[in-house]
Amino acid sequence: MKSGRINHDNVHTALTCDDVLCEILLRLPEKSVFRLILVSRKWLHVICSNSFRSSYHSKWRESFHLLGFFVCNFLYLGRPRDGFRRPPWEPALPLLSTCKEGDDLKFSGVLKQLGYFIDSSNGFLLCGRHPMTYYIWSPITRKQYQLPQPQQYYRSLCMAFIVEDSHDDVICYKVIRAKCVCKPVEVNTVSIETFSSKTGAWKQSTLTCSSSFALCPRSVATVIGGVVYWFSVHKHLAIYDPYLGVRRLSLIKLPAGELSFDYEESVLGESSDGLLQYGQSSKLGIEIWVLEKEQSGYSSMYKSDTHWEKRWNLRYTLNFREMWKKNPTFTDRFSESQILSFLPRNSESVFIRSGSNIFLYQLESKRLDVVRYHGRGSSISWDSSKVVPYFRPSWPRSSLCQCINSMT
Amino acid sequence: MSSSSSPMQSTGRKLKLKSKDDETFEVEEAVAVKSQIFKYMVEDGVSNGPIPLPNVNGKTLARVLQWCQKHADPTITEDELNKYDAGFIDVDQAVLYDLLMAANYLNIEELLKLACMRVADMIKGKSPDEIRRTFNIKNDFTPEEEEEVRKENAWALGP
Repeated sequence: MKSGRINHDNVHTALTCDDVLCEILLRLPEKSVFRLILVSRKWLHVICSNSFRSSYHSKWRESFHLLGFFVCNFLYLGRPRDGFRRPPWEPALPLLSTCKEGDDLKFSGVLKQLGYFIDSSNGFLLCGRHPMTYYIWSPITRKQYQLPQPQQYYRSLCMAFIVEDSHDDVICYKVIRAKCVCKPVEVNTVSIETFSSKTGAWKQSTLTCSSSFALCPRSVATVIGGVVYWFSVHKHLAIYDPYLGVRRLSLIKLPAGELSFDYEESVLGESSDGLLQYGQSSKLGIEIWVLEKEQSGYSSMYKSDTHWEKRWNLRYTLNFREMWKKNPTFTDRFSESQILSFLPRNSESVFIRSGSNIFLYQLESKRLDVVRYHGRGSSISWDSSKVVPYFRPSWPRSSLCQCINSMT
Repeated sequence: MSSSSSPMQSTGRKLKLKSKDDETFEVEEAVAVKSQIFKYMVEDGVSNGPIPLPNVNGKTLARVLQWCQKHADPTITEDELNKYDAGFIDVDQAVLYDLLMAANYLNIEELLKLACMRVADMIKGKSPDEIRRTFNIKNDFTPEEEEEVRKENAWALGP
């Protein structure tokens, strides 16, 4: 056995075999894998490929990186005819960017052509002007696509944006518009219109629920694993699974808080383990619940909603006073804090806003970090706006590879 | 080097294998089925004459069979097995790649995992340039292409 001498043929064979190369790369942490795109063209192709990416994410948790925060001012969006007009110097789609990639997006001018921010998913943007003009912008092609005009006119509505996980090169998505009632009346049905990228068309349908409900207008659903969660009046959640093939909504009551009776902010998100998490904040602090998965499958979802009360699991309680105490560098200036948002597929941290400051709070270590953003000088009416973080899935891509996903 | 002189209880039948350089090996079925390929052959009732393995040379096959034998031994403890594996995979690159290819070809999951982990450990912490040198890979990017890749993935390639 001649030790130390490399048989050059062997080196090439083992590592040029794609299967073997994938097997090896699957065992490395993300940061290591990302750096390897510079080794050679083959390695770049393998790593950027959708198949490798899927395999990798079946083993390791997918990560996302923050580009900034989009601001959506309710006073302008879907305004009545005599309502506020956006002054011309104010951008319709402001982005408070937190890194160079965000800055680049902002200065590319793309955002000026999209109307108002509605939602983002997997890095894709849904923007537009209610009730008829909608755009999808893809971070991969860097192009926008205007959806065909919807058929149904809904004066007041809420929406959902679903980008499907792709295992091949084609990205599929759905956009749902749901009619909200203006009168204080709750009914059993709701008219929705769904756009599917596969059909390229809108399709109207009616969803039924066993109890009466009313979806909250001007809101956007949280989507987890393709399931749509809308806020409904009187502290309920309406749940719709478009992939089940059944036109039904189920309703569950949101958990009552223990910190206070008076809650100001409610947000939804996805936990690290793929469950729905619900956060609400009051002047005193934040409570975070997780909706534990139903054991017996879907059929019980459509029974009465009293079963569901037991299924919320309170995971965290955060008292603001204690939070500021533990992070004394910030104390002196801030009084009113609220939960801003969750992070994608993440149960470990939340964004908290205090005045015009945004912080990242880590729930276990109780550490607060300032999130620096550009655009502090601009006037944001925080109380009438929704400020939403914009994350992109972290995975390398290259125009050198023919991996550019096409949009149907 | 054949592995027919086994200290284990020989309960089952034996499989005959022939390497690419015409070396023959006799191995217990219980040991051979570590490889999914042989497992299916045994289940399907094939294997009369020696099974030709044109992708594996005698030296490598001997090693692989030795590994399979150790891993098929019911008396060995997990600790001993881990120690054995650590020593087994501590080989130079040429042997490592032969083992890797053989494990892949013969579909021996545990051995493939072991070999891949070893290569992964060799990759971890190295710069692309160091990796190219370690594994003798050619840099086929033009300077412009490399710059493009870096630019498009600046967030990923950070410090």
